[in-house]
Amino acid sequence: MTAFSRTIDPTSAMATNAGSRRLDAPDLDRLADELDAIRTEVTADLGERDARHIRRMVDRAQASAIAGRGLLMFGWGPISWGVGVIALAHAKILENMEIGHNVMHGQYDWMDDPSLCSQSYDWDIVCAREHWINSHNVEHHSHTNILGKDHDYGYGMLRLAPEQRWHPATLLQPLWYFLLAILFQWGVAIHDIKLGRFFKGRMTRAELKQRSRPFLSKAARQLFKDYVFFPALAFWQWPRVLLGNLCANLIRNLWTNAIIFCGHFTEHAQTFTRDGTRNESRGAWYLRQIQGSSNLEGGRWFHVLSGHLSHQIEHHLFPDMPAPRYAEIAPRVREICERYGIHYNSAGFWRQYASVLKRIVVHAWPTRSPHTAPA
Amino acid sequence: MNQMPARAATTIRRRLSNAVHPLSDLEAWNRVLRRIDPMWSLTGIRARVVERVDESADTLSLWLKPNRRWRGHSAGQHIELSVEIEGVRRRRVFSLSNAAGSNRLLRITLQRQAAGGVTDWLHANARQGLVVEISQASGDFVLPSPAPEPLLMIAGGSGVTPLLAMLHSLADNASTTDIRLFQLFRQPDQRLFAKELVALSQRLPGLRVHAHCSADQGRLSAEDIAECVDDMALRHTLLCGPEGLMADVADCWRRLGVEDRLRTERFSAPRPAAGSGAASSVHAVKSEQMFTQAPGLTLLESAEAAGLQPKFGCRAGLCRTCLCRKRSGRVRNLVTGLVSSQPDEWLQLCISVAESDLELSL
Repeated sequence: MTAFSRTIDPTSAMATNAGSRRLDAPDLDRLADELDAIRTEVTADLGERDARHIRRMVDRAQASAIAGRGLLMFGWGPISWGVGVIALAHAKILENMEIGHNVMHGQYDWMDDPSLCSQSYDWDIVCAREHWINSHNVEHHSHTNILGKDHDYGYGMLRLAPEQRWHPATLLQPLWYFLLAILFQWGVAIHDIKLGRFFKGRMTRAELKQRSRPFLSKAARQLFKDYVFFPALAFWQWPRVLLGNLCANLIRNLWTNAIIFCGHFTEHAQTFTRDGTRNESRGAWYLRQIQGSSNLEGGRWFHVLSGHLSHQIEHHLFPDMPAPRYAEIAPRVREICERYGIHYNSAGFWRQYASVLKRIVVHAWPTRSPHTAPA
Repeated sequence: MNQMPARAATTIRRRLSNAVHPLSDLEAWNRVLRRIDPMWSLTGIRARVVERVDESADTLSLWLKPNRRWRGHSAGQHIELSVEIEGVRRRRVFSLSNAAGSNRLLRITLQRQAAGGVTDWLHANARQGLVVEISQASGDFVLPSPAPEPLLMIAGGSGVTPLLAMLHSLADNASTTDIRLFQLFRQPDQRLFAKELVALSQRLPGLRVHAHCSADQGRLSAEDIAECVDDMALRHTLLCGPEGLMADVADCWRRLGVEDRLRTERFSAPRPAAGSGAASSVHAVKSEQMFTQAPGLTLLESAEAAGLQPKFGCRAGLCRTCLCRKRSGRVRNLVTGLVSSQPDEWLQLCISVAESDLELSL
């Protein structure tokens, strides 16, 4: 109907399953036990250093936001403007990725600190917390990369696998992707309203209104803050602040988009079908999380700025484990994968991101799955 | 009448607060203020330990100086104190053991309990200068007003603390009320505040203290106490101590027909009787989990055993941190004995047991 529809082509039954040997049920049970053991061990060890880490991140984000907004409001000349933009973008990235995303996963609920509680935390982004928790924590994390069930796969507008239906408008998807990247926070924000259902007539106008309410109120607050309130506080310097906030939001959008797209849409990240994942065991669920995710390699600062989504595999195995622990358990997860012959998808940022962009361009064309192609 | 403007005011305040966010983020301001002075806070009451007194091998008293958000207390009330232990915020309720004076100092007395808990941590770490977070004083275990009649105070172990606060308060008002205090303790070295009670007797002409050590003199039952006091019918009883003693006295007073003149303060939640009733299955709606409440466990303990992590504070039915909405089912409150059978009622998980299958907003 439009380029925004993303439905499964019923002619292709099998999902890609390259790079891993087949594991039978007892193998999967053993895999689950080994991974559970890691979780149990880390959970028992949670303590002061995890608390110290998240508090340090909160302090850092706050200091960076104060510095950034201060420089934009009271600074003079292009250098202070540039530094202000970077400081504010850094604050937003840190807050969204390392603090907001992780806190809302409940990674720090065990601390029983009301300001770090998944039930109440709200982040500095137009996406309303209740929408995020449903579309991300509930749908994406349980149905990771299952075509038709994981609405984060292609975000309902991109065709990233041959099993997804092609439409002439899909040819324009590199352009859609570019727009999504610069407006990423808005894409994330309206994602859980599920506009596609409305356009297909599967949602009433009243329901749409109801579903949009948290988004509209959150968006109004965010727009007011960045484009009215803070510019107004700067009096005659308002254009500087307004433009600065716009740029900071843009930088945050591009960065988060790049990191998040590297999580599940890289070259070897696999997709799954509803049929193939029906009644899956815990081990099979773990296996799907590993096969559907991809890691990024980099230094400590890179991991922090990505909210440790650079350890997407570990994050998908244990979404509620404090994120800095992912780096610690990664070698063990990798070793387990090697033993079971599971492909552990990990590479540098540029290489992974290039493979994502390639996938967006390639599948803009009516590609066919190797499984369904005539022999 | 007042409800509409009050609601409108709240809405306006919320809108305003949203509009100037993040400048209205009190937690963010608190983080900045705390760096300047750990006592500063826009929301919580922070208190500094100004003196530590070791009362006995396993009991210590702390004098706390709260910041200006503290609104004072009445003798007999308690506070909830929270500290962070290994990254986890832990809370515990303590009775204040000093009168509400003008010097704005508070005293709590704590007996060392299970390892890893708040009391254990304070024993190891509380020293002059430590800053902790406390709640406002609460509780209705206070002196009867107007001016007290003859009183009978029964204190078991560290249950003497709220009663001590009342005695200080009476002494400050130069009260001449006739007071009999029964102080019960197990071992001779576990008697708390012996010197302080002697000093109080000098200021309170009507105070008579009966110290009873059960290791030396055998157990003192509620009947024994009632027999010692000849004018039971006139006296107002104030009781604070371990669960066994509380139940014993409440029982005896009921038989004597004077239970309406009994006031109590609980330090621990009453235990559900083990083996009573059948196991009930509980549906935690928010977390989409089912768990079973076994006989002898509270709802809080059962939920925790099932891996849920409901919020809790005192675990004794005081602080209401574990307040939870019940959607349906029958629940009995162990403290009040009341049964909630209506749908959509609030319940305190730590002192509630299921009497049927339940649905909870958990």
